[in-house]
This record gives sequence, structure tokens and C-alpha cells, in this order.
Amino acid sequence: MTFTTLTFLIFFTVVFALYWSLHNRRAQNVLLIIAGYVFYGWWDWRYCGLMIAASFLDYFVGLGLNKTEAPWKRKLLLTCGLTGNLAMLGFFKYFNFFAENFQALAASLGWRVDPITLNVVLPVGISFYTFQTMSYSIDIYRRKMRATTQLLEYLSFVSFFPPLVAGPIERGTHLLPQFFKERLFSFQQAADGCRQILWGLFKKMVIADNLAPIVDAAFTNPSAYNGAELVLATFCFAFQIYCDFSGYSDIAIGVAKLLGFELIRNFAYPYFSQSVGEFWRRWHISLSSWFRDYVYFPLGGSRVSKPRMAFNVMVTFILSGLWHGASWNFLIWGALNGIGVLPDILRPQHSKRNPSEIPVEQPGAVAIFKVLITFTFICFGWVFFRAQTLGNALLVLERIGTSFLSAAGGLLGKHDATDGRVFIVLALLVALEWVKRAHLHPLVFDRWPQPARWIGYTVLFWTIVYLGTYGSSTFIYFQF
Amino acid sequence: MRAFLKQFGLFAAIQLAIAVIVVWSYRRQYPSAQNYLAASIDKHALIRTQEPPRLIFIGGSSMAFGVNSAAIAEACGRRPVNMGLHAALGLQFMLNEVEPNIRPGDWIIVAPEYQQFIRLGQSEMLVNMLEIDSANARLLDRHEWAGAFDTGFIQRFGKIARAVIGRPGRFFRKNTMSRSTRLYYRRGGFNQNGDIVAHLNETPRGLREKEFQFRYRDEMVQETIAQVNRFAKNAEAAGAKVFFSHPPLPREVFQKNRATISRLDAELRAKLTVPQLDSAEEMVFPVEYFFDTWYHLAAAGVEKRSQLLASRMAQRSKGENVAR
Repeated sequence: MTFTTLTFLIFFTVVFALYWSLHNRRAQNVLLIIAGYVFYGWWDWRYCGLMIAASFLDYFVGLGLNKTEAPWKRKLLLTCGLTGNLAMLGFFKYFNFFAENFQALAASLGWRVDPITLNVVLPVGISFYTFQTMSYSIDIYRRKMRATTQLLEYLSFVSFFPPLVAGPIERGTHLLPQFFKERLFSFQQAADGCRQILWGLFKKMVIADNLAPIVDAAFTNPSAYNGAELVLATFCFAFQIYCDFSGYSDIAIGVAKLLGFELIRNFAYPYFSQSVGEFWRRWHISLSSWFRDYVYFPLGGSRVSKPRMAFNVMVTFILSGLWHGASWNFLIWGALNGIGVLPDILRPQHSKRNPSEIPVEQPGAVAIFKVLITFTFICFGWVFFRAQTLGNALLVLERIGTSFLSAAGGLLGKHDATDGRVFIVLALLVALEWVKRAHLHPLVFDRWPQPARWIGYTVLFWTIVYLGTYGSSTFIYFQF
Repeated sequence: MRAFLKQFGLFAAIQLAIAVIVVWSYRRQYPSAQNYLAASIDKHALIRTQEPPRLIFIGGSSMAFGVNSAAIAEACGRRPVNMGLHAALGLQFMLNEVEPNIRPGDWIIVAPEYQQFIRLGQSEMLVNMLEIDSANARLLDRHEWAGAFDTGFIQRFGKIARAVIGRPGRFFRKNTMSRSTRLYYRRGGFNQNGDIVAHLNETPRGLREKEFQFRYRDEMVQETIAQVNRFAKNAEAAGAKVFFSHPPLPREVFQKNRATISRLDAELRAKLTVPQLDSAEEMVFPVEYFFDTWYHLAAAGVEKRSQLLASRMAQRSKGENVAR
């Protein structure tokens, strides 16, 4: 079930009505579990088995960790939990990649190995909920929290449907306690949730989905386009993936707010970053912080020598690249971003600013220059992220390098169904996000009188209706 | 909660009021009773009332624009019912339109466009059919309903809104259809047998659409062949006979897609359980025979294709008489 469908609207209306008509917290949690499994099983009911397996594995690991104090036993239990989760992830996500590459390696050495790849379909959202359950076990192991003995609340936490298939990746320390609290309906929270949903739908349906045909055409067959067209396609992809993914997060956070929950922030206007390091503190924050807390810090983080710190950064970013998918492109993309982050990390007084401390002062020319340089670097990485093969990525870069000074009109003429209007809307989005960058999302007009606010929301709603794309396209991050 | 529901309800009511005005304007500009898809009302009436022995044609617009059904039916001593309307409705919907109305002795020619082998019906189009006649609801299967709820209703409303908001100057005007819609793509453009005839005296307008590409998708092809076979089995059980025919294509378009169409043809020969009246190559015509897009034949093309189908049906008819 996708957020942009009528099916979801009907589903959520029913869930919302039932949820708030129940005055018992535990009954609400039962409803949320049922809703979570219906939402997830809508793709394929067989996927539910995986989610149940992941849930129970970490539930029992957590209970075991609660009961034991012996370090070796605790370590063993955690290893079992992590192995189970990673095995599931590895089988569905990486088995074919490693089997194919092993075969290619063997062939290069003159050995003939029969391919043993399986036609495994990647279950939607598996990378998200396995990371969520893994963080639960690790946090208990680290004694940051106690494991819950309440199965109902725990299952509600894992199957909570708004962030289930594309994040934000929640932590047990943040989300789980909310299932133990009585939920009181808050007008402010619900209204803000509605605004965030509207903004998410706008980004996804008006911008991301209208940019998609331009990007798809260029990256499916890059040899048919010149350098300028490929630069344009890369620029379009930068905003397509931003609006698609942050749009999903906005809708998920908004839907959760309507149910009385607060999810963690996942995007903080990342394209206004002045360095690659800052970008990664503002882009897919829940994943970046996951890798920081569970990979980078255990490796020693920044409390080690500079070469070791650089090594830690590279390992973290390469793993983060591979989290997105099993391909050399993602590995290179991760490594590129790791290299991009190094100057920021290795500086004696590097910034550790967190995303809630976004600079809102008016930037000077130097800052704007840094933003543009960072954006260009990030776009360079997106080429590897988006291209279907490594060959295609290199071809895109080669053509950009050799025929940059050419006209880009052909790509738009053929594949921009909006006759350029999407770029006007995109410019307005960037402007609005810039003006509102101090807020969690841009639709905050507290000082406006209500009629003016409603006119604004109405214009936005009808812009979605008028310019939106209502195809069956899903969100890009569902594939991860 | 009450305050929220009140505010939200008020906001939703404002949007609903705007939506009602948009739909009202759309209906004035594009009266649905006269639009192209509304011809389905007449076609459904025809298939219910036409006396046997009948020759029923199933297909998309290639069938609507592509045959002189009376001439073909006459060649085999039958009465025509041309159900051809729009490829985007999908083959399943087209077969569902005909299946409950099959009578003993019916002959049925199924001639789906190549896209039918690789794509399902468009949800938005199916919702449009519900809008035209709510009785069409019974023709949608489970998957089509799911598609309608997922995207179809929203897509349809989006299309209506775009048509109205995109042309504010026409907001209060009536009948603002484009020239081609007024002339050919309308309910009145069909004759009593269900063939489009409004374009037959017009000069062909040339192919205007994007390049035709037939990308072979094995899973869909197999499912579509199975669909036709299932339909044929049910039709046979009801005392009818089903034939398969290929859609027309311009020569240049066929040449560009020869490899994938040949692959499809090989699958059809191997797996289709119904007799084939022609080959893909026999339905290839010069581009001058096409009216405004591939599949849509102009008068000369209609004549050629109808002659070929008439001769094949006459042979079948003779064969049947000899067998008797």
C-alpha cells in the first residue's frame, strides 16, 4: 500500500476513526499491529512472515539480555540476534550479488562455476525494519534501555506502519516508550501532521514524479544524450530523489502525528549544506545516525589516530552505500561520499553540529559558494547511485566531460510532460525551503491569519491535483 | 478532537465544493453522453439485441477504426457486432463485455492490439467507463478494482481538473472539444454496427504520436494468451467459436519491431488454442493507409483489411458448410 493511493486514504481513514474511538492504550496498540500487518501484507502477504521472524528474534534476544549479566553470554546473544537479522538481509538483498561476483572472479581465474543465483524478490522495506530491530537489541546490550517484556507494545513498535517501509528508521529508545504512554489527541500535533502530509504529497507527486520521466530516459540510455542533457538529468535526479524520499518521510511523520506519535526527523534541508559532512548530518538522518552509532563509534569513531579515523569513515560510508543495494555502483557512491566527508572530519575543530542546529543567518558569498560546491559533489555521487550499471555511470560522466557545452533542450522536449512548469514549481520549493529552513518543515505560517493560511493550503492542494502525477509509481526507497 | 474534526471537515468541504465546480465545468465542456467511450452504451445494447447468427469483433480502437464489419459479416452470412473501442481498456475488460452475451452459433474475432500482450488496462480509463455507465462495474475483475482504488479514481479526477484548470478561459463554455474529438472521437462517429465511419471521407492526417515500441514481456504475453484461451473455452462451452486476428500496423513501424513481434507470433502459434485468421505480416499496410496513428486505418486501409478478413471468414464459413 502506497501513501499516494486512494486505497491508503481509505485505509488510514478507517484506522484513524477506530484508533481514536478506542480509549484503551492496549486496544489501540492491537489495532496498530493489525493495521501494520495489513499495510505491509498489501504488497504480498508472505512478506509478513519475515517481519514476524525479525520481530520475535530481537524480542527474545532482548529478554535474554535482560536476564543475563555474564559478558560472554550477552555478547553471544547479541551475535545471535545480529546474525539472524543480517542473514535475512543478506539472503534477500545480497545473495545474488555475491554469487554473481564470485562466479565472475572464478571465471577470471579460469575456473568454471555454475551460477547459483536465485530469483529472490526483495521484500519491501526489509532494510528498514531489520535495522530498527537490530538497534533495539544493540541498545539493550549497551544498557541504553531495558528490553520490554510487553510483547504487544514491542510488536506495535516494529510493525508501526507509517515508517515501516521507507523510514525514518526508529530507535527503541525513542519510539518504543511512546507505545506505553496514554495517547491524548492534540489539535496542534494533528494539524501539523496534516500540513506535513500535504507538503510530502506535493514534493512526491508534483516534483519527484514529474522529474522521473526525464531522469529515467537519460539514465536508461545515456548514449542517446549529450553532456548538457546528462547534467540536466543528474540535476533532476538530485531533486527527484530528495523530493521522493523526504516526501515519504514527511508523509510518514505526518501520519504518525495524527496517531499521536512523534517520529525522528529524517531530512533537514540537506541541499543547503556547506560541506559533504554537513550534508550527511542533514540527509537521511535516521540512517546516517544509525551508522554513526552502531558502526562508526564502535570502530573507534574520532577518538583514534587520523589515519584510523579516515579508515573508520570509509568503512562506515562503504557499508552505508551497500545498505542501499548490492552493486558496485552503491559501493563507489558510498566510498565517494566517504572521501567527501574526510576533509570535514579530519579538520582539528570539525563541526559536530547536529541537524537541529541549522544555520539560519543570511549567508555570505563564501557560504553560497560552499553550498554550490557541495551540491555539485553530491550530484557527482548521484550519477553512480542512479545509473543502472557501472558502465552507464562512467558513460554519463564521460559524456558530461566531453560534450558539456551543448544544448539540453532535446531531453526536456521529449520527456517533460509539464512543459517546464515543474522547474518553476521546483524553484518555488527551493525558495520556500530556504525561507523556512529554521522549521521542521516549510508549511509553518503561524503568524498568518487563518483565511490566508487556508488559501495557501488550498493553492498547494490544487497544485498537486493539477500538476501531480498519479501513476502507480512507488517511492524510490521501497527498493532498498 | 472535535475542534480538529470541525476544522478539517470545513477545509475538506471547501475543497469538495471546488471539486464539484470543476466537475460541473468539465461536464459542460465535455458532455460525457456524447464522448467516444459513451459509444460503449450503444455497443452493449447492440450485443444484447443483435439477432443470431452473429459475428462479434473484439479489440481496441484498431477494431473500431479498422474494419467494415458489415462486409466481413456478410461474407460469412452473419450479422455484425463491432465491440472495438479503446486499447487502454485492456483485453480482460473487452472479453468481460462480450462473455455474458455470447449465444450459441456466435463467431467471435479477437484482435487485440500488440500492447494488450504487455500491458493491463489503464485504471483511469476503466474509471471513466464507470462514469459513463455504472453498470460497467460488473465488468471489472478484482485486480481492476484494486487498480481503480489505488490510482484510477485519483487519475481520473486529476485529468478532469487538469482539463478545467489548464484552460480557465473555457470555464463557463459548453462543448469545447477539440476538432478531432468533435469530428471522429465521439459517440456519433460510429455506425449502427459499431464501426467508426466519421473519418472515412477525410484525408489521412499522418501519424502524430511518439514512436511505437513493442517491448516483449514474456510473463504478460503468457498470461494474455492464457486469457484468450480461457475465453475461447468458455465461448465454446456456450456454443460459440473464437478466431484470432492480428492488428494492423504501418510497414515502417512493423519493420522496427519485427524481432519482438515475430517472437510474439511464434508464441501465439505454439500456445493459442484458437484458429488464427492471418499472420502479423498480412496485417502490415503502407503508412498512407493509416488515418492519424498506427492501428487507426483510413478508408483505403479499412477496405483492404476488411477484404482480407472477409475472404478468410468466407473460407471458414464454406469449410463449416462442407463439414456439415
